[in-house]
Amino acid sequence: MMKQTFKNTAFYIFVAVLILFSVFPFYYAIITSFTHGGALFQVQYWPKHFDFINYKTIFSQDNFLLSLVNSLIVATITVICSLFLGITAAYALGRVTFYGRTLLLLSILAISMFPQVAILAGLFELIRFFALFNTRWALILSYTILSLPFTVWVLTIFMRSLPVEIEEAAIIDGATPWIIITHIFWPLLRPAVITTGLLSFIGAWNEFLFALTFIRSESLRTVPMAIAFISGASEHEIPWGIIMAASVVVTVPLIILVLFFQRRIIEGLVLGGVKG
Amino acid sequence: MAKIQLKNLKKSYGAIEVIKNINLEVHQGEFIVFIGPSGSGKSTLLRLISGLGEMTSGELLFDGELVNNLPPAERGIAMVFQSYALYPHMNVYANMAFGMKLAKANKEKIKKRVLDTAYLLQIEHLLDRLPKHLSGGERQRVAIGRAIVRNPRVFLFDEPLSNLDAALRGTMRLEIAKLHRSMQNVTMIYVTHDQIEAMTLADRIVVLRDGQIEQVGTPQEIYEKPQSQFVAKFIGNPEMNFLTGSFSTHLGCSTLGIRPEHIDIVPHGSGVWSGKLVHSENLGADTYLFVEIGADKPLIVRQNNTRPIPLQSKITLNPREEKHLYRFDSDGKPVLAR
Amino acid sequence: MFTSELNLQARRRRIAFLFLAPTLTTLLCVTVWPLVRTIWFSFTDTTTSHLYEGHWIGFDNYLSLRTLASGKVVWKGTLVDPAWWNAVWNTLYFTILSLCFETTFGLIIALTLNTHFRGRNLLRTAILIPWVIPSIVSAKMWGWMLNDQFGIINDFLLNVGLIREKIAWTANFDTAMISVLFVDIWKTTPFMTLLILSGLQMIPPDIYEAACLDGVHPVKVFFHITLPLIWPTLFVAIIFRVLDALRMFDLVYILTPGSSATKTMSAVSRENMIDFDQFAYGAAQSTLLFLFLIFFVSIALQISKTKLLEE
Repeated sequence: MMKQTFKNTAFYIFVAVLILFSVFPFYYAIITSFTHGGALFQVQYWPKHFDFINYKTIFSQDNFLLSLVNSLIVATITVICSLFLGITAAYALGRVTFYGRTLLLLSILAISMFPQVAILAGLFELIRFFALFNTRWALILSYTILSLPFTVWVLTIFMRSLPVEIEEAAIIDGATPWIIITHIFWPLLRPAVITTGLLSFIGAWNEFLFALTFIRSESLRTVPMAIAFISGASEHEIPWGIIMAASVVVTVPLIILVLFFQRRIIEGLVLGGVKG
Repeated sequence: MAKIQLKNLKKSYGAIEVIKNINLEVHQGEFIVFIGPSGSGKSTLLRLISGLGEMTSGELLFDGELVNNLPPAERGIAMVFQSYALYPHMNVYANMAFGMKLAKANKEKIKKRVLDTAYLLQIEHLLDRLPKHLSGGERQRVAIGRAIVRNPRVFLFDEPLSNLDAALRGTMRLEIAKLHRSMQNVTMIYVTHDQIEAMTLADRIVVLRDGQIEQVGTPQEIYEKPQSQFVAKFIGNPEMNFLTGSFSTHLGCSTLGIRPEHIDIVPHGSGVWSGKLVHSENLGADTYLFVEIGADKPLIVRQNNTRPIPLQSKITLNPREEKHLYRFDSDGKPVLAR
Repeated sequence: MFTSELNLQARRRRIAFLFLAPTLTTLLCVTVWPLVRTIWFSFTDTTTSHLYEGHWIGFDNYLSLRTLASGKVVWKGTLVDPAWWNAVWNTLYFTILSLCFETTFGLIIALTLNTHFRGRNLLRTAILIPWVIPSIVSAKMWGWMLNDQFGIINDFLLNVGLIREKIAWTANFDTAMISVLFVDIWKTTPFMTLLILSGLQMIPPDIYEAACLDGVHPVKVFFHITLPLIWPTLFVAIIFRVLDALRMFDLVYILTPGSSATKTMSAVSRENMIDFDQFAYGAAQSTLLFLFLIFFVSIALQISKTKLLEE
């Protein structure tokens, strides 16, 4: 009996440590974001200050607000593009039998394994060539190709699981493939669309390397860049309070997504990984 | 409204031929049932007729017009699927109206047809429900309704009742028979593996085996004059008894078949076969007697329930009439009576 | 052939081609073509400021040999560049260690999550948080916590007596890699955990029940039943993770900027390409990284094939 209680206690302590370890950095970022000036230099384990000045500072900076807008625009259009391309391609790969279908699907998946930096030089040239350098389109284009292989993969697996007879009934009713996708499959695909859409969105919201390379203007920066480039009055003074406030602002939307769509996100990660 | 002709129809997947040279003519307004064991190609054949499947060679004609390359929607067909295949996110009304909507019919016309059909099938009260809130029988009715709304010249059924329980299957069978009577001109092709459905619904039955037609005929012809041992065995319940060896050779054939319902119990000494009753199954109206007469398997005898016979008792049996004996050669083909 | 002459399947194949065309075009133009260009650039002397003025110089960016007037032989190129080999070493070191820790921790946490206990959902949600936080934000958050003067880590470690004086975790040559590894393990273990968990959940519970009835020791159950059964999942997860670790960039770039103790292959290559005006040289390095990944993937495929054959 004693042994059992001890085991249980140890188990729950272990779980508590895991939870604490997972969320503590974000908790600490929140505490720090409410701290200003000299108070920053006293380590605090519990929130002591509730100073909104850091938030006022970042929201009064046009460039930070712009970076939020930029990220939102870039991530949203990326999601729309990769879903549009992904759904049509997944229909072809998942529902129509043709020669070389599996090979094609595997090739698309293989593309997702390219290291970003290996296509960086060629992409840099391409983007310069089409005069997209230092525009949002440069990011939308590069983020779409980052999320596209995964989106196609997950949607294809999902499309294959939809019953054949429903599609056949629609064909007999006179539906074209486009009608089948938009009127019949779209509502059924919703879980997969949410999953892939969310993961594309998170990917585009968090991406750094391409943004760093293809964007020069401060007004076009995305949030990861904006945070990376927040600097203080002098080189040696890093404005930690402001950085943490900005970090909290860009992370909270993602955490809300995780809380609401946890199941979908986990499903997506697992589909992308295990069935690969 | 349509006469359907199948000429030298073939379909193969790579090297495997699933449909081997089928020739068949379905008359206008006829109710045709395709029956056969799984893998016989009956569903594949239906899909070729619907246009959902692609034939390797041959010709398919509707009313004399070649439809090989006509898309399913333009063939004037409607299909009822085994899984009902209702659009899960649309209510019953939208499910039934979808085809007409795609054909850009006007709203009033759609509404009238859907409501008329719903009245016919007595599903008016279900019109605004989603498929997931319907019972199996209701779903099947809606699926049939959706097919009727299309006003097809050919109705195709792909094992429509096999997902229903036995009681409901009986009811729906009746409904389909009624439907056929009320739609005199509509040709119906019905795929099933259930011989009761085949016998009760069909004008003509097509028995398929390994992608080939084994026999075509009215239910009565199929039952009374099976053209092969395969058909004889496939139709009838319990299935026909087959006797070989000395039982058959002295009657001039390699296999002798007799249906359980055509065997009578006769007084000792006057019958052809005699043996011991080893098992009996009482089904209420009938009893199946399993009689060990020294053949490979016990002979099954179907008796109206008159009086119970104790197990292990000796029984003498006789075929009711000479015409009830089916003689087959070693290839399973019938031997003509001399 | 006229449209009306095509049957349904032929029509569907044509539509399938139409539907695939945009995706394939995009991938070919924006992924495959740039890759080809990168490889092509690596054989030229292109600079970032003059993209179109490069000349073909063969393998010079990789390795070249020049005999000086004095008769001295000089080797040049990435393959004799100590900075490159340092990056290769850093990347490998990072990959191997992060993989070991993340797999071990991932297994432990997944096994925990695979049992029924109160607060299981809470734990699952909690471990998703490090995964969803952008790398840049995690780098900044940990950068702040690992700060030498005012960081909470130093403060905590001093208070419990594990260290005697404050350590500049991210700036010190000796600890920079440890910091990067630590943050990466914090951030990526959730991914491993969830993949492994999905593998665990595919194991039919009656196997455990049978083992339990037979009185098999839990440790033995793990090594003889659980591990072999989740091996396919684990294998895929490891491949994904290694591919990801080999191209590691942003955490290093922000957490330990410029430190040669942590600079990875991706970081060095990007730096040459974009910051140092040595476009072709950087392209050569990223080509090498690409070859490296191909090499790894083919080995992995070979292993999985032999495994399959054994079974």
